[in-house]
Amino acid sequence: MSTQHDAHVLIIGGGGTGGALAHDLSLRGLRVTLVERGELTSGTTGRHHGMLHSGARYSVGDHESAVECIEENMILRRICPGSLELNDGLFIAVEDEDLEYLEPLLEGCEASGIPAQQLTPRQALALEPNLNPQLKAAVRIPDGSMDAMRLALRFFATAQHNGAHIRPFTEVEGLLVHDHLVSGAVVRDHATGTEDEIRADLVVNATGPWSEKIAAMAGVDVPIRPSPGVLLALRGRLCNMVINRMHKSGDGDIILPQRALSVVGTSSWVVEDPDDLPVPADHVARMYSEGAKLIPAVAHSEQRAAWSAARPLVGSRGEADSGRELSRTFKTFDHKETDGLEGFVTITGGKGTTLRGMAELCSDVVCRKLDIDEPCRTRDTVLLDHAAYYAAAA
Amino acid sequence: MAVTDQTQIQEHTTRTCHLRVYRSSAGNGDGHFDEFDVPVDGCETLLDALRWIQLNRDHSLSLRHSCLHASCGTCGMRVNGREELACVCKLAEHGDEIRVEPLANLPTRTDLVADMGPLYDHFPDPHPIIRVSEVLPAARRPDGHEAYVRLEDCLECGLCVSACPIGAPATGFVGPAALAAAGRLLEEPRGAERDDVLSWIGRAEGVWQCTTCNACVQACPAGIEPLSAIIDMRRILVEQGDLDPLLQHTLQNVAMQGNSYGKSARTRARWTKGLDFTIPDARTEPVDYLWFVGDYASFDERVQRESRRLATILHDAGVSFGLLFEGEHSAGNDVRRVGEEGLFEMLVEHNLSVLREAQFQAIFTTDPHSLNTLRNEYPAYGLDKPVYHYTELLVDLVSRGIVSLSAPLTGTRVTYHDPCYLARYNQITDAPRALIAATGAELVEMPRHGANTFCCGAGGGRIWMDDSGPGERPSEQRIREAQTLDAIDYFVVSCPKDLAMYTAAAQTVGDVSFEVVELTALLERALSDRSRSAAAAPA
Repeated sequence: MSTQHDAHVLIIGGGGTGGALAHDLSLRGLRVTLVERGELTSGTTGRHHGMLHSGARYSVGDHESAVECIEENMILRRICPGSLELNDGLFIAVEDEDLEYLEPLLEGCEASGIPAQQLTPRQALALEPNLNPQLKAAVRIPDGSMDAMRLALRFFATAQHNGAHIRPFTEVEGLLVHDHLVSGAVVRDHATGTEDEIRADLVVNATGPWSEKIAAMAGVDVPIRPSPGVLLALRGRLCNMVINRMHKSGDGDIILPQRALSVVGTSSWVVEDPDDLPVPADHVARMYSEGAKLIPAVAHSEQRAAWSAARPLVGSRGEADSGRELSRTFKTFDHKETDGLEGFVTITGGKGTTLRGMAELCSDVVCRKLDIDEPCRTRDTVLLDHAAYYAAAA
Repeated sequence: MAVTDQTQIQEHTTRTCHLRVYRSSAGNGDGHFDEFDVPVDGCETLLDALRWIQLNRDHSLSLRHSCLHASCGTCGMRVNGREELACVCKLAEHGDEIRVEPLANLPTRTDLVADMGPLYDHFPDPHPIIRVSEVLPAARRPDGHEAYVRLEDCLECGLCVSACPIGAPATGFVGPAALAAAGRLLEEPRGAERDDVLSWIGRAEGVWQCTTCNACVQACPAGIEPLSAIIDMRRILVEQGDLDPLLQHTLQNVAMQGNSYGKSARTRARWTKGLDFTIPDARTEPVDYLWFVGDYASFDERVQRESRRLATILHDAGVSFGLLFEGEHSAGNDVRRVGEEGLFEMLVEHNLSVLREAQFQAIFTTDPHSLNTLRNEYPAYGLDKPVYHYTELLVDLVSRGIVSLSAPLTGTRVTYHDPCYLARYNQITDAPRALIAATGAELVEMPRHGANTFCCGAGGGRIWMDDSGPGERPSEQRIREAQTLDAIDYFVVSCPKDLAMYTAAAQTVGDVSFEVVELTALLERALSDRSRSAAAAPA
């Protein structure tokens, strides 16, 4: 453990990013309070595909994200043993034009340091008998599945164990802003119905697609586009590995096993309000039709649920319409630099797989701003079991 | 046309669902219900409706949710008294009036938010959530992998604990979720010591508390069957001779005399002595129906009266029925559920050999537990005759006018308790209600009824074990539930064990304004011109 510092950081947002940040800052010895308006992971985190990315999905065209993914993938295997389904993944070509993606994929993986192994269709079918028997090529990469909610919860459990004050059901009603300085927040505790002020030396906005709304409370803007995607959960486990379509990222081109379900995802568009996410019927139909190209049994599988999750993509209005063009990387905004506002940082973008890495970089910014010289210790700290969160909270 | 279309659209968009939602603030005993009308359009699931309330009506409503597809187990709650995950709870399946409450048997933090801490207090240690995958057997393992792995099916949602009649914290029972996890550890230890797991499940708070009511199996959103794990673990303990002395004594009785009372097998049909007619011996005389009476209806003095009552009704109706007399042994349903598989098979073998001697078309039984094993388990051993509960037989006789209920019990208000082994295991809920309706009495349902009934606490061999543990007995909770109903005359049961359990529970609870009666007693009162009463006959 590091020395204790008096500096108090208030994190807004109880998703994976906020949890990883609370964990990182607690390990560095800072005092941390985290507030979340609902239950932890009730925003984007719990709803995402649950994919532990190898980075291969981004290796053609988004080198930065691909490298982040494979690095963090290997770190999560170390620090979250027991929370991941590590059965690897396959990219499969099911149409002739998919084969055009084979060489760029292999090259992209090599350039990003992602171990990739080309398999014959027969080898791929031996591993995953439910695959489209017409598949023309396959590449095996170290993808995996995660429990999106419980993996994040392990960060909260460990942060709490190290002294962080985790407050779910506590909503920010306003930020304390005076003289170009953010010094805390006014929060309402929904469990008790009471309102109080939390003073902090620094406030971090880790609210993902809600970042714009929180930033607006401080009178600043962040270029975040809430970009929802539809996911479809089917009854039955159709595969053990993560099955990807071998082509440029598109709709319904990933099937992931999750407990006794198979999850097909996803689509992508851009909305204004992340609280109001429709589940368009045509998107659900597309998950069925596109998913069936990878695993034909998808077409006849019973729907358990269909839902939308909003990604927080970094990009300005007008820059992209579908969200597909936006990078999957993440970004820390020090509002001192962008808006002349002290005491306020926004961390956003990224994805479930890179939550720890995002937190590391953001914590570096936080520590630099608070003049604290402590190294990141999260790369090798094995996280507590998710149940420890509830045990301590009780 | 255009006008009609417009009207239809308006009706469609304004159709609402009325939600009564439990509210309370942390630490305050201020629990109450708030009411909301939610537009059904755009709200497919209960979670959609609750989030609509949060966004449009009351920002302070607190609930838990995360994955939205029944994979994380966060949004468990009680919907019209039944445990559900809100994210996959379809509004359309719940009518226009929906009552939403937090999970039971766990502390409520606020509103619909249950504190999940106590759930984990009971999980066995270690608590692995990754298991070796046994699915897709055709698949070859990838190079470098010993096996495919997968997350355990259990969502840790707490629905089974909420539904469990012994789940109240005061009982100390570790609960179905933890026992299912222990069962998985025995299958696939992953670092656990088998003996540690066995001594943990064998404690007083472990597998022996279970009444086998099946509520956990029905509540589970992930298809886990905690009950199967519990029975499998009981089998291991029984094989090791590691069981409650009282239970061991009962099992010895069953082995020696063929009944749990330890009474001489020859006295099994002594209850027929008070009748003024003779019931044929189906082993020597062909009959239409073979009455498999069961241990309680044969030996318990209070239930014997009910047996005589039913015998008289059937005799007077001219039904051809007979008994196996001393040839009948315990059917073995509960013997199997305490884990004594060997004794169960001996009982099946014995009963089937006697049944083979007898001539009959169908079996009926007074005991739902016997019904369950005879109907669902004996066929695997060779029984090929239909098996009915006596209420099913009587409904048929009443509907054909063979039994005439011409003295209606107008003005009488009754409630009816569904036995688990009828309602949960065999979906027999209509026949007893049809009979009650035929008597002319008014049926007032308890909040938990039909397939979502509440357990009496006697099943799964619990009636043979010490039940003086901490916490109020399920049967007493049930009597209190009936007390919340307005002006009930009778608490009607259709299971011999229930008559014993609830008569005792009503005495313990005290100040009970209704009487616990067998359904046959209610029927008898509605029969016309009855000059004699079996109950009044000398025993």
